[in-house]
Parts: sequence; C-alpha cells; structure tokens
Amino acid sequence: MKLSPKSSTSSAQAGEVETSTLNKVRLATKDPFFWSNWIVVIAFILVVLVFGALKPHSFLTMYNLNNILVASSIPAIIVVGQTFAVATAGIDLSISSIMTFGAVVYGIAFTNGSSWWVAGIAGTIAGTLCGFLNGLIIAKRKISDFIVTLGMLSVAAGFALVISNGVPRQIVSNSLSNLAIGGFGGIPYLMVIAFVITVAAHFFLFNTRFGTHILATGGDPDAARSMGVNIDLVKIVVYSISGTLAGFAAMLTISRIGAAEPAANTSLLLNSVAAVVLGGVSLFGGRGTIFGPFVATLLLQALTNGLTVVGVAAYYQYVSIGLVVILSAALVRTK
Amino acid sequence: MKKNNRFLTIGISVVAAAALVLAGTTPSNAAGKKLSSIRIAVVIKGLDNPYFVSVKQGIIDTAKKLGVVANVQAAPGLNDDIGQANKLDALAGQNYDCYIVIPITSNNLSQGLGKVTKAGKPIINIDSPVDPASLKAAGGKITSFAGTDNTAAGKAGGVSMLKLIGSGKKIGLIAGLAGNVTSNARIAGFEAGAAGSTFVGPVNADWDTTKALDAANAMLVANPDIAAFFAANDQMAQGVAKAVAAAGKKIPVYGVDGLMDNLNLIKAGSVTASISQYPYVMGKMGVEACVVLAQGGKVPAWTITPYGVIDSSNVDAALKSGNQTPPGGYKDPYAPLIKK
Amino acid sequence: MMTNNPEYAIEVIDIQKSFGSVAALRGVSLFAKPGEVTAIVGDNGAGKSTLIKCIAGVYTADAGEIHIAGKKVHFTTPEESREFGIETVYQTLGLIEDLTIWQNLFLNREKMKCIGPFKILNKKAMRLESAQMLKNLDVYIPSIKGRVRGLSGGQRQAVAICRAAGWGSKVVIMDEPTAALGVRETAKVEDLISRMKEQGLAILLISHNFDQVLRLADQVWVMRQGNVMAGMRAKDTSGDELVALITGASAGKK
Repeated sequence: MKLSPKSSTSSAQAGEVETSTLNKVRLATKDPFFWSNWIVVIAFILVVLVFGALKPHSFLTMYNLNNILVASSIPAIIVVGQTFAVATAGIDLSISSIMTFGAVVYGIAFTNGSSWWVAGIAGTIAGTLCGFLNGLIIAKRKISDFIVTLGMLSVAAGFALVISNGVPRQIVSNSLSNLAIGGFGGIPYLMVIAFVITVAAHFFLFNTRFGTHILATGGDPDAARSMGVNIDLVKIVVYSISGTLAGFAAMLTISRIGAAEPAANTSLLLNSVAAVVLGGVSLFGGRGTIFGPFVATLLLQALTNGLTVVGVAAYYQYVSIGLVVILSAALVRTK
Repeated sequence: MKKNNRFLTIGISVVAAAALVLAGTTPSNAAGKKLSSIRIAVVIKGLDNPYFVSVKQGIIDTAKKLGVVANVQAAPGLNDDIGQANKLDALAGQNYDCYIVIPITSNNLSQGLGKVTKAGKPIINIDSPVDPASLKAAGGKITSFAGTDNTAAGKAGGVSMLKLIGSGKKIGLIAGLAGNVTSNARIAGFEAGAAGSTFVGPVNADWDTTKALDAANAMLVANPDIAAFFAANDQMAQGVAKAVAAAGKKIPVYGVDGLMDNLNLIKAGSVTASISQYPYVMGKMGVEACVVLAQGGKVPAWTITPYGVIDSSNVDAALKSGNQTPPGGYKDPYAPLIKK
Repeated sequence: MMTNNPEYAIEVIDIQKSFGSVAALRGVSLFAKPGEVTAIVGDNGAGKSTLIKCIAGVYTADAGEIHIAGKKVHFTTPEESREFGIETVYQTLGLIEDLTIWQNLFLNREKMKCIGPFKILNKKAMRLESAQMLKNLDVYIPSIKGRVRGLSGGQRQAVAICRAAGWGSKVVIMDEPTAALGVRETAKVEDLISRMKEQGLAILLISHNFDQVLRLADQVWVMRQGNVMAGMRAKDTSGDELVALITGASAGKK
C-alpha cells in the first residue's frame, strides 16, 4: 500500500486506479473465486459433449434435452433456498421434509375442494411456516443451523405422516399435470418457473440492500452485527425463503407424479448440497452465486440422464456422480 | 394335499386364467423383429433390495438366453419417486421396442408411460401395478401386467400362520412404505387369511430392516402376549426376527419375498416362513412378453405369477435351487408364444 | 470542573458502569477536543474498553452523562450513537473479507436508486463515493472493486479507518489500531491519523504503546481500576510518568 506523503500533488495518485481490461482478466483468473464459478459451466459443456458424442441420436435430441430440463426444474428451485441458507454460513437439512409436508397439505386442501392452485398456495404457506420456525429458533435461541434444520427434518416428516395418516392422496387435475408436460415454445413450463425464480433470487441477493446483508451475515456475523446489520432478521428471512420454495416445489412435484406422497425424498436434499458445493458457494458463507448452483443442478441431471441413456448400470451411476462432485471440489480448491 | 402340489395347483390356475384372458390381448408392433435386434428398456425399483436384484437377474438371464438387449435402470433408492420418473423419461424417447416397469408409487410413472404410449411402444407392468386412473389421464396404456396377487399371497401366509398358532391369538403386523399398494394388499390378505386373530398395528417400517427391528421391539414391550409377527417383506422380517430373539421369545415370524437370506434363516429357525413371490420369474416373463410383442405377437392382458409359502418343510429344496423358480414348475404363458 | 463545554467534541461526566457486583467504571470524566488525538491509557482491567463501549453505544452507562459539542446526548444502541457522529474502529476491524471494499465501506448505509417501485443498490454511486472517501484521506488502494481478503493488514486498517472517518463523524474511537502491524505499516496508519486530525475529527486512541501515544496524542488520560487518575497534555508528560500512574506508584493529578 502506498500512503502518499502529505503533498498536494499526491491527491492525483490517491483513490482508485482504473486497470486495463487485460489486467482485469489477469486479476480475475488469479482469483480462485472465478474458477469456482466457471468450472461448473465447463463441466456441463463437457458432459453434453461427451454424451452427445457417445449417443448423438439419443442424447442430443430435443426430447431428451427437454427431459434434462424437466428433471432439473424442481431441484433447481430447492437449490435456490439452499444457496441462501449456505450464504449465511448455515445449511437447510430440512428442505426435503418441508417439501413432503407441503405436498401433504396440498393433498388435504385439494381433496377438500380447493382448486389446484389454491391448494398450491396452501402448500407453499405450509413451507413458509416451517422455514420461519427454523429461522426463528436459529436466530433467537442461538442453536446451530445444522442442528435446528436436522430436527425440523424429522418433525416435518413426522407431521406429514400424522396429518396424512400415512396415506397418499391422488391428485387428478389436468391443469396441474399440464404444468409438468407443457411448455413455452419447447422450454418446459417447470423450467421456465425455475429460471424465473433463479433470476429473481440473483437479483435479490446481488442488487438489494438485504442481499448484501445476507452475504455480510455469512461472511462475518460479528463484523456485520457491529455495523448494525440485523443478523437475526437475516436468518429468519433466509430460512423462510428456503421453506417457501420447498413448499412451492411440492406442488410442482405433485404435477409430475400425480399424488401427494407422505414419504420424504432424501436424494433431493443430498443433491441440493452437492449442487451448492459444485456451484462454487462457500460452505463457510458470505460468498457464492445463484447461477453456479443452477448450472450445477443441470450438470448433475445431465450426467444422470446421460448415464441412463448410454446404459450404465445404476451402481456405477452413483460412483460417477460422486466422483464428479469430489473432482470438481478438488480442482477448485476453495474453502 | 402334498406341499409340492401346492405350486402345481397354483400353476394350473395360472394357465386357466391366462386361457380365459387370452381374448383381452393387445396389438403390438406391426412388423416382427429378429431376436438379435430387439431392445428392451427396463425401469424397476431400487437395487438396494435383493428382491429387485432378483427381478433384474431374471431379466438379464432371459435376455441373454434369447439374445436380446435389455437396458435395466433402477431408481437410486427405494422411495426416490422423482428419480425413477426421470429415468423412465430418459428412456422413453429412445427407440426401444418395449418397456418393462415396476413403479415406486402407483402414480409416479404415469406421465412417463403416457409418453411411451404416444411413441407407440408397448408397456409391460410387473410386480406393482400402475394406477389406472392416472395412467389414463396421462394417455398411457399398459399392454400386459404380470405380478403376484399380493392379497392372495398375504392370505396364504395368514392361513398358514393360523394353522401354526391356532385361532384367537395376537399377531403383530409390520407394513412397508406408508400407503404402498403392495404392502396394503399383503397385510389385508394376511388379515383375511388369519381371521379370528387379534392384530396389533400395522406399523410402517418402510421396507427397512432396522426400522422393523425398532417397531417390533416397541410392539413387544407394549404387548408381551404377542404370539406371532407378519412382516410385509423379508428384509423387515429379518429385523423382526432379531427383535424377537433379543426379547428371548420363540414365536413365529413370517415374511414375504422368498429371499435367500431369509431361507437360510428359516433353516436356522429364527424366521419361520416366507411367502415367496419369485421375482426372478416376473423378470423373466417381462422379457418374454416384450419379445413376443416385438415379434408382432399378442400377449394376455394380465398374468398372475406364482407364489407359495416356504417353511421348514420345503426350505431345503428351495435353497438348493436358488429359489428363483417355484419347485414343481409353473406355467409360463409367454414363453410358448416366442417365435424362434 | 469541566462541564458542558461546547469546545469539546465529546465529554463524558462521571460515567459509572457495573456488571453484577463488579464495578468497571466508578465515575469517569474526561474530554476530547476536535482536531486532536486524545489517548486513553491504562492497564488491563482499568476500564478502557468498557468506557469506549459506553461511548459507542454498545453498553449503556448506569449513571453519568455524555455531551457532544456541549449538548447532552442519550443513546442505547451503536446505531444511535452513530447518529451523533461517533464511529468506532474495533481491533477486529469489522470488515467482511469476502465482500468488496466499496461494499464494506457502505455496509448498512447502502446507496439506493429507484427503478419503478423497487429500490435497488446504486453500485455506481457507491463505487465513486468509495474512491472519493479513500482519496480524501490519501489512502491508496489499487481497486475498490477488490475484496478485502486481498488486502494487507495495514491496508485493511486504512479501509476500516476511512469508513469510520468518512461518514460525517465527529468522534472516531480507535482501539489499538497498530497493534498487529509491522513498523512500516504502523507509520502509514499514524500518517493517516494525522490527516484525520487535519480534518477536524476528534480521535480517541486506546494504545499500550507509550511511544506512539507521546508521538501522536495531544491529550492523555490515564485510567486505573475504573477511575481516571490523571489527564494532561502529552507534551507535559513522559513514559516513566505514565507507567507510574498506571501502576499506581504515583498519585494522580488532573
């Protein structure tokens, strides 16, 4: 650092010095944060290329790419919530159960006469309530995010079983199924919804005041608090967002599988954490992107899809996916 | 009636049923295909259960024998309904000649199956039935169903249990995944077969050995006078057997599936019986049905696959043969329809 | 006695603070003038930190008054104390490593612009003003777009100080600002403090480094066991005298 001497000519050197574009690129590539963002995109392109080469007539068809988009939609929405939680150096282990709880509430509302979208609002609000509870307990009782959401994982799953009596409710609704089958000019509705949510989340995190506060809370809660950031409010909002998205995703899941199932789906949770890590979001909080985990979700689904199309046995699929996650994390070597 | 004849009786019923239903056949691909060019897509439940590993084995062995290609995919876990739907979607757009499916829930594959039907390909549904309402709403059509009558299987178990312990006793019931059709049918069948007994539960243990162990423990504590247990699948029966042994009791434990591990336990005495449903045969029949359809033939709309109660009296024979197919044979309505 | 003197940027009168049965401050009175460095020295447990926190609004005093430019003020939170122009640079600096320099400078004071019904961050304005804030104090940072993580200890200290000084503040409290820095960076920070003096800020400096105190400060207060033992002009005292007052070897003089 140069603190210039107390002469009047020094002010010309002080302050920001604009670097040339080349310097900017050089600076960027030295920043490990840069690589952790782009490695996902590179990996995704690689996966598409490799499987496209192996099975050009099967993998690269509009139909199959459509499949990958549909398969990615619900995980992509869940991962937005998880990203917010991880950005505050927390984690939401309860999202899969909150989704199940939302699904059950949806089922009860629907079979009691609500329309398909009013039931969707009911399920979403159920998710918001669970998330709000998470955030409240984490903020006010100072218990770790890991433990609180772990507890909610069981509680929400249990409640889902209780109020549904363990029985799935079939949801027959053409409008709802259409959500899963139809699309805008080739792009499935589900992916359009997921993309809109992703863009909104990006905007919220990087272009609003509260978004900066979220990153500050994750980066250094003590420093943030000393500057007057309301840490408690941040935690409450972030987990409420995560719960809301899980509750909303319940309706989308029902549109795909046709019933409100009381059994939780834990692979959704594991994939969300994998996608967050792959997407370059630091588990220690304060740093990350929204689009990184989005692309990572596409990557994981494309990988699963590609392996299925090529005919790789299920056992090897688990191994391959695990390897991709570890390799990507190792290649980037960020915290 | 001698025990071995039980299977013959069931086998004959199968033939009779098939003959009756032959009228309800469905047309398949117009042109017949050469065996070597037939490609079959299979989406079954999670391979973390030996039952479905046996289904897969039946499929692979039969495909190999006939010289056809089978791509067997399974969902990552026994309850990953979305993951399984994704797998079917991925295969539905590929140019397979026929699709074999075992859905995790009665609804989760309906949309994917709709896509398969739209592509004009036949669907063989084995083991767990797809819900007809959601299937119809998605525009899907099952060409043929081959599975055990889970209710009848449960009932056979109930009848056998009643003979063993007598009437009016307390029986603990351990069920599978909540709301699952197979589990419900087996439990209901067992209750019918063992009518006159008092039933504790059913408690859901999600097809999982450890959960069943905990559930049985809790039941034994609350009801020390339980005289027997019925678990809706063999993996859960293993857990129940451990709970019973830990409580120091010697009461009969029945399971369903006919897994080799459980047959060994039957021989050792910790499990009493298993209602075998021959998943290997289901896989075999699935492939055979696909081949017939790909060759332009017709198949019966539904087939009941064989089942039978295995206990200490016939476990040796079952162990020796690997329990893939019922002793005493069975009737296979698809095999004779295959053109060589 | 000093009371209500508008010449003082800040004056505390008879501040008392106890934590349970422990009396941390037993009636502390001192003042700081604008454009001066006012040092507070004392041993561990003398009450310096507690006093600073009362002034910063982290604690609320049990008794006593605080006057800013002759006017009595009352506050219960750090945000309220900021409104009166009191800023603090803590030893841990309060910077968020993964955020950029301009984000840190504007933390919780973000500039917004309106797009329709929405208020979004006005990043351009914040970047421009950040550059200006650093320029005002002659601090050189290659790019305010860089993250704090990439700065050296001395650079971070400078950014934290700029933040404290740049908000229309009247009183800047610094707790051991050069304790973790090497010789050269310490010199640079001391230069920065001098420039802040030129801008008319009142700087309250806590330091264990008597050389630094005698070098930088205009006024020195010595605290011991929750009391102010002595207050004098820095040029009128020496290192030895300060040590004696801190340890209690000599009686106080006011």
